[in-house]
Amino acid sequence: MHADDAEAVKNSLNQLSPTARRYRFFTPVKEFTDEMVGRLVDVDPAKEFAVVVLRSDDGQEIPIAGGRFVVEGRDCEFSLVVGDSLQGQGIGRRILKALMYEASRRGLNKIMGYVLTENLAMIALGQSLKFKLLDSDEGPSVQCLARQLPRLHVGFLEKMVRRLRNRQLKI
Amino acid sequence: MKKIWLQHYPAGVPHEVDTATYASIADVFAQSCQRYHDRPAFSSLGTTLDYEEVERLTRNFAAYLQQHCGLVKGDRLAIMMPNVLQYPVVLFAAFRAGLIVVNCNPLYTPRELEHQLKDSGAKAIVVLENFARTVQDVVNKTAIKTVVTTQLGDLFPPIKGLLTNLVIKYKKKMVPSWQIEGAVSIKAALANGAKQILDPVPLTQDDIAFLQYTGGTTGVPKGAMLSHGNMIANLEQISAWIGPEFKEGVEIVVTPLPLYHVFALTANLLTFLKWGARNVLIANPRDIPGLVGELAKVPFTAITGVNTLFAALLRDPDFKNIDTRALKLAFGGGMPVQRAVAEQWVAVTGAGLIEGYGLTEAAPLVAGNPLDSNLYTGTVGLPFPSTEICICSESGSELPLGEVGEVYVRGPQVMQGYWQKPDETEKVMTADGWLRTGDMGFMDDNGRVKLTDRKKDMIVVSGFKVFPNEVEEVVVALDAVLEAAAIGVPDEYSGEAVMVVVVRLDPALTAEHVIAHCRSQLTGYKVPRHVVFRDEPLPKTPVGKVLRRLIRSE
Repeated sequence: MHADDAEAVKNSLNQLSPTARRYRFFTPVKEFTDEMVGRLVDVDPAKEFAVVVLRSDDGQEIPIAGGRFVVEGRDCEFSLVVGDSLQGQGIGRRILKALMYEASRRGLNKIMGYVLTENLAMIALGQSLKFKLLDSDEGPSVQCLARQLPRLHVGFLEKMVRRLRNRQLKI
Repeated sequence: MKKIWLQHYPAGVPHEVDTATYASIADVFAQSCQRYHDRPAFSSLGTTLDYEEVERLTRNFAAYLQQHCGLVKGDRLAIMMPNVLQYPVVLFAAFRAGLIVVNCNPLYTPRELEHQLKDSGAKAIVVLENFARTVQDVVNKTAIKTVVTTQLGDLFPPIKGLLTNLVIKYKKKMVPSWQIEGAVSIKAALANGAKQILDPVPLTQDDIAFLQYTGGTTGVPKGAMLSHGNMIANLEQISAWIGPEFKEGVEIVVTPLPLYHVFALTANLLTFLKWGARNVLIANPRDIPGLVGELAKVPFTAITGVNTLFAALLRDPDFKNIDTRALKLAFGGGMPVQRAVAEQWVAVTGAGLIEGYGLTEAAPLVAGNPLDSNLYTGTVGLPFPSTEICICSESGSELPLGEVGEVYVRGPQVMQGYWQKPDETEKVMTADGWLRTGDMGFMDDNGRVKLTDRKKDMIVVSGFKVFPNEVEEVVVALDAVLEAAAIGVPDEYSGEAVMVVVVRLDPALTAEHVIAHCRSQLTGYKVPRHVVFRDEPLPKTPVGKVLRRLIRSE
C-alpha cells in the first residue's frame, strides 16, 4: 500500500455501514478523514502487514476488503473488514489465511484480534480457522480470537536463503 | 437438563401453567369485564372507571378505529401516553379491533419516534396532547393516516375534566403548541364510534399483540413480536407465582412504572386485569410526594417498581406514615434491587420486596424470588412455572451449577422474533426454541439464578437500558466532535449513569452544548450525566480498536 492509495481506501471506508464501522473500530466513525486513512495506508513494513482486496471496475481498482496485523513482540494483533454487500462469501477467510501465512513466515508465535461478542460472523470465521475464543479485559462485550501460529517450513527456508544472500553481499 | 428449581417452589405454586385459558388478550378483557362489571377497574388522579365503563369506552373506540379509520386486523396502532385512563381504553380497543399495538415512550425525541413509527409501519397513533408536538414533527415522514389526540382530563367527569384540561394547558403550560392536520380528539372519536357497529375480529394466540421496541443486544431498536399467546402465558405464569397470596376481585395494584414498558404492561395491567383488580395508574412517578399522596388514599395490596423508585419512596419523610397493612407484594425488576433497599422496605412496610428478572423478548418475566419469604437473596430467584433456564457456554453447551455463562430461556412467553429482522432474530434464538438473553450469570444449588454481568454492552439507568453506541452516534454527529465513547459509571441514585468521553475538533465545544444536543435527540434517561473532554485521541489498540477499559482506567 502506498500513500497514493489513500483516496481510494477512504472512499471505500466511507461506504461502510455503521455496523461494519463499529465492528472494525468499536466506536462510531462519522467520517474517515485524510488523517485517519493516512495512518492506515502508511504501513511500516518492519512491524506491519496489510492486505487489500480490489475489484476491477471499468479499469478502476476499488478496495472492497482488507486486513492487517501489527507486530507486538513475538505476537501480533490482526483486524479485518469486508464491504457490507460482499460479506459471507469467503473473502474474510482468505484475508485471514493470508495474514496467518505472513505472520508465520515472519516467525511470529501468536496472532490475536479483539472482536465484539455480537459479531457472530467473525467469531465463527475465527473458530473455523482454529482460533480460540477467549474473554477479554474489556468486559463481556468484547472477546479475543487467538491462536498459535504454525512454524512454516517455506518461511524457514526463505529466511535461510535471505541470510545466505546477506552474507554473500557482505562478502 | 434437570429442573432442580421446582423442588424449591413455595407450596401452592404449580410447576406448569395452562396457557390455553384464553384465546387472546381481548378474551381476557371480555371475561373480566363480564365477571367484575361493577367493580372499579382503573383509577387516575381521583377518578375511577369501573369494568363496565371501560368495556363501553373500548367498544366505542374499537368501532371508530375499525369503521371510521378502516383499520383491519394486523394493522399497527401506536400509543404514546403515560399512565392515564386513556391508555387501557385505547389498548383494549386496539385488541378488540384486532390491531397490533406499538408502545411509544411519550418522552421520545422526534428522531426516536420517527424510527419507531417507520419501522413498525404504524397507520394510526393515539397521543396525549402534551406530546403531540413530537408527533407533528415526524408524522409526514411516516405511514400514519390517523392521529387521535387526547387531553389529560378527557375521561374525567365533565366539569373536573374541563378544569383539568384548562389548568394543564394554560396554568401549568404543559402542552407545547401543536397543529396536526386532520387530528381528531378522542372525545370525537368515541362519539363517532358509539354510532358504529363493531364487527367482531376473531383472534388466536398466534396473532401478534405487540411490537415492543427494544435495543436488543446491539442498540438498533427492533420490535419484539409478542403474540397474544406470549402475553397470556406470562400473565398466567405471574398469576401462578402470586396465586397463593392473591384473591380475585379485591386486589388494588399501584402502577407507577410506565405501561409503555413491558414490565408494567404485563405485570400490572394484564395480570391484574385477569384478577379483576383495581389498578391505580400513576402518571408521573418522578413526583415522589405526589405518589406518596396517592398511596395514602388507597389500601393497596401490590406495587411494582424499580430499585430507584423504592429507594426514593423510602427517603420520603411521609412514606413511613402510610398504612401499608394491606400490602402483600412489592415487585422489583429492571435493575438489581439493593440489599439495603430491600431490607428497609420490609422494615417500613412489613411486606417483602421481591426481585424478578425478565426481558422484552420474553414478555417479559422469566424468574422471580418466591413470595413465601421476605429474605433478601441477592438473586433474581427461581425460573417461573413452564419456564426453563439454562446457563450455557459460548458454544451453547450447558454448564454445571455455579459456573458463569450466558442465560438461555425457553418457554411459552418467548417472543416470535424481531419484526422484519430475521437476521437479528437468528442471532438470539436457537432452532430448538431457546432465547439467548445476553445476560451472564449462574444457577446456585437451589436453582436460583444470580446475574453477574451483561454480554450486551449496555448501561442500565434506573432500569432503563441505554446502549453506548446510540449515545456515541448522537454525540459524534456534532460537527465539533471527532470521537466519543460512552461508558457506564456507578450512580448512587440510578444504579448507573451515562458518561461520555469526547475528543473535540473545536475546543470551544462545552459540556452544556453536548448535553443540550443529546437532549434534542435522546430520551432523558439516555442523556449523559457526565461529559469528559480528552485532548488526545481515544486510546486504541495497535490496529485501531477503541478499548473502553483504557478509557475507564484513565
